[in-house]
Amino acid sequence: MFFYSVFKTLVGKTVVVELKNDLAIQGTLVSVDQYLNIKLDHVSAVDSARYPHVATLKNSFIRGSVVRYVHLPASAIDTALLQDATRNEPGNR
Amino acid sequence: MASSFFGFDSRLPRDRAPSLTATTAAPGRIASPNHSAPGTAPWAGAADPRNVISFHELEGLPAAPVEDDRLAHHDMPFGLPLHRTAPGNLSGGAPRTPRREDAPAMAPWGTPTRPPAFPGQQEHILADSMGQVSLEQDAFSKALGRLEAARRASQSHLPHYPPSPLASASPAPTTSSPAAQQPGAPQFVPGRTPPPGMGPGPYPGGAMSLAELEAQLMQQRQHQQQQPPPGAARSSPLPHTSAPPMMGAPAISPDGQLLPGLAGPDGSPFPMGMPPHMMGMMPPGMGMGMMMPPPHFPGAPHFAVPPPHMARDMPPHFAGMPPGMGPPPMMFPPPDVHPSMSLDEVERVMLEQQVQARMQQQMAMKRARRDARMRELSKYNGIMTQYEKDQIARIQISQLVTADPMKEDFYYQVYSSLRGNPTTEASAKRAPPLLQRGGRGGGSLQDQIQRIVQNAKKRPKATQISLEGALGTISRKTVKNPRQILQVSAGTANPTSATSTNLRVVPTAPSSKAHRKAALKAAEALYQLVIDIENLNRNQPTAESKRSLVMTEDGDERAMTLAEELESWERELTTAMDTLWGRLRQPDGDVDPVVLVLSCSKGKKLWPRLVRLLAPHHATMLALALFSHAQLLDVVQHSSLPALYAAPQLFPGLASSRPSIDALLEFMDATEQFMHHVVPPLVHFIADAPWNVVQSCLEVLLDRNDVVRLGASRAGLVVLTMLVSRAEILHQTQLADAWPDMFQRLFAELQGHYLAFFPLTNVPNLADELARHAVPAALLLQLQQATAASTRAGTPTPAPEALAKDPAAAAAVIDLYLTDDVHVWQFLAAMAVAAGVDQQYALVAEVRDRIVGNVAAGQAAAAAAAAAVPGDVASATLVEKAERSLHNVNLFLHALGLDASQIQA
Repeated sequence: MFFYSVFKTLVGKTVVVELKNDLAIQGTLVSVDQYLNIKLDHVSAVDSARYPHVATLKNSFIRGSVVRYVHLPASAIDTALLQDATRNEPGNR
Repeated sequence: MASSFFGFDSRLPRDRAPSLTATTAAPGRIASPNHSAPGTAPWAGAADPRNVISFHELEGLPAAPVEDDRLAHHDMPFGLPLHRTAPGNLSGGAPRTPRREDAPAMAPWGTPTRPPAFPGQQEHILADSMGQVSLEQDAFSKALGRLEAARRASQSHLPHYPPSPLASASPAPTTSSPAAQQPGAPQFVPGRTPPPGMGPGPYPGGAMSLAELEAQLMQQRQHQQQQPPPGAARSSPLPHTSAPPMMGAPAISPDGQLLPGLAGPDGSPFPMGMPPHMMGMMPPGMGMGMMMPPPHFPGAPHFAVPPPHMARDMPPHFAGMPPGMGPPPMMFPPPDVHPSMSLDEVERVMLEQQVQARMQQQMAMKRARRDARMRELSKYNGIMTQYEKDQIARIQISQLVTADPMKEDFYYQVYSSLRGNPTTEASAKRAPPLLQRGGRGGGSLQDQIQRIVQNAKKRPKATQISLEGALGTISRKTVKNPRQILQVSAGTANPTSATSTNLRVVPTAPSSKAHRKAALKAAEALYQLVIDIENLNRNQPTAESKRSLVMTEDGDERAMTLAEELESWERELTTAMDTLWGRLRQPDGDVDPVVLVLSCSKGKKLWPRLVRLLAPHHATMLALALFSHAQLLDVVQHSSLPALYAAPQLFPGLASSRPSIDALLEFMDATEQFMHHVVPPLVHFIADAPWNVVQSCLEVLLDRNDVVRLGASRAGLVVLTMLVSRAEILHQTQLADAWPDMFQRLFAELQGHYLAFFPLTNVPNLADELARHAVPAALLLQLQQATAASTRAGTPTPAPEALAKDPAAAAAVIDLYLTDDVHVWQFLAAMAVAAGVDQQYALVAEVRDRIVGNVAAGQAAAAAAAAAVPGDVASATLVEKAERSLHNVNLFLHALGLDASQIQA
């Protein structure tokens, strides 16, 4: 539940999702679910010349298993709280 | 039959006469969702995939071969009709009665419900869901009402799309329902392609895709253009408003009756809502831009028949065609002319008409296209019932709901409570409807969740859910206990056996790796305890909070009362606090835990939280421990690092061990963390402390530490300053009688060493070093903030990120930081205030050179500012330093009652 919890706080922020096939998509996070599937709004590819087909998209639903990275805005994360939350994880207690 | 290049019969209507006559002679028709009157064109009902008629049986025509890719947009997935019944079997494919009433009563994941119970329901749902607000309601609803009546009269066309495996397994209802149909009416064989003669398109109703339609119409246009006069002649007697509808409009025959047999693929009389009035708007003249000329109709006698045929066949997104009845495209209606109008005016009127017509065409086309797109998108609506969707949502939610959100969902809960939850309201609104619809209505969301959780706990749940009719299983466990993919080996850590916790030997060498690890471990252990205590504090039982359950003697469960709950909570809290205190005061070998914990930055960051939790007497003891081991703190021990780094030649014996820039940066970071996290709580503590506490602190400090060493470090100086000033304040209010003696002692110890407290005056070659070594921006930010206190307000401070990239600028910041002597002057001022006159004299005598130096620098600041090259970092630094020196020395001089201006440099 940990990353699900983190992503829930990022709803509404602009993130860049990098997929395992090297496509990087920028958009505003609309929702996330328990499998870390991501819904983005106002989608645009970071390298739009290489991926022109993304230009037609407005929203996207990205399956969680194909995500490699999610680039977050640093200001949206409270690192001290994150450390605490990690300590609270069931595996670490 | 014409070639099946298109996959449909592409013969002209006039050549298709045999089929037409055949169908008009056909006995009856299956009432399809939208066509009621029997006896009308039999193919008309085939537009709805759910009630495809077996025209083949009717006419004996072979089925049109249809290519799979054409079916891609079509209600025949996989290229096959949904129900293949044996050809010629009229009764085998009889539609079944819907069993909608079965669905809710059966177990979840039992038989899925049928699509709408009566044919019009789908359109109603469609219409509602698509918010058809643009319809002209009156004629439409009247027409619809008539259709509904007719439809209900004949119950034979009940749609059964999509079929379910269970449905197909059960016996079809019977031939009795066909019997209820009009006698002799051909049965539906759903999914059969209509015979080619019945429709030009591959769709069940013979509807074409847009491309095909256009192709066809281009063809017809040519024919059309050859026969304008007949069209024109025919058009004049007809008022435009009664022209048969174009595609998508209800078929209203010239007498105003809704022409049955007109349907789009979804069976709606208004496939996408072209109200009758649209026909009036149908451009009487199709402009040049019009690509789709009205279909050519053979001749007057036939026109009643083909128009509905063509109208139906054309996909709904094709609009703007008064099929058959309108004037040919190139013809314009007779202009509204007076005999007295001039030729120019007539031309103008005609042009205007043309322009208007074109615009209307385009709008109508756009609307039709949009409607068609909506229809395509919603073609598969209604596959799952709302109940089934809620079922899945409930499964997902049941995996997500937690009995203790603070534990599982910690980050989100605390983050939103810190930032003021902007979204919790929205989420609370969203969640209850879902749960309520499942039959759990009533009660708050919390209660519902609690009920789910408790039910979950009671029944031993399987690890996998498999639902009837669904593929695969849903695994239950992985959300909270995800499978660990990375294997982190714990074998490399120092093994600590459970028995030897007290005999653990911690190496005292402060910079050794093992020492660092021990420090980190201690910090982590304390962190855990602090978090536990904070959680407990947060969850103090109140009157409204949930009670936990306890077993009674009878074996029943009973909720605890508030008193019991509070009691158990307090017990937990005290246990935790005791553990924490024990951990804090348990020496690990030789090292005091306070020193150990404070030797890593993690521990320094933890310190304020820790101190806040402790009871006052514990806090005092902790402060005493800190003071007694002050010189063991890392910030004190390494205080000579900057000097060693900057001027190794001054330390002949240690020249070989010049510290690296890394070590220097680390030291600076540690010092800043200490000042930022540890010092403020201490200041608070001392500022409120009574004299006896201050006295014990001072004693411990003086007894156990070398004050000179303390003074050499920035942190030590700050601590000393605090204590001295507090003591002096207390003394001045007559509370601290023993202070003067103690001060004497302090003064005597420090005598002669004040000069050693001053930091270096400059750090050479720093820029070169930094060019090879990146400085973390965060550190630079801290340093900037630290020096900002003593620099003149208003000096521009460049952003740390930019600084990190520019070694010269970064060097300037570090230089400023390291040469800041404000702490020394502050300490000296504190001492001066407490000192007697001759002690002050002695103080001044000791640091005279420094005073003079600072004053001179300050007085030269004006000149330096003038000489400064703007934008040059080095000269800006000089100016800053000069001003700062003046400011700092004044701190001391003012304590003495003097000022820098009184001193001649």
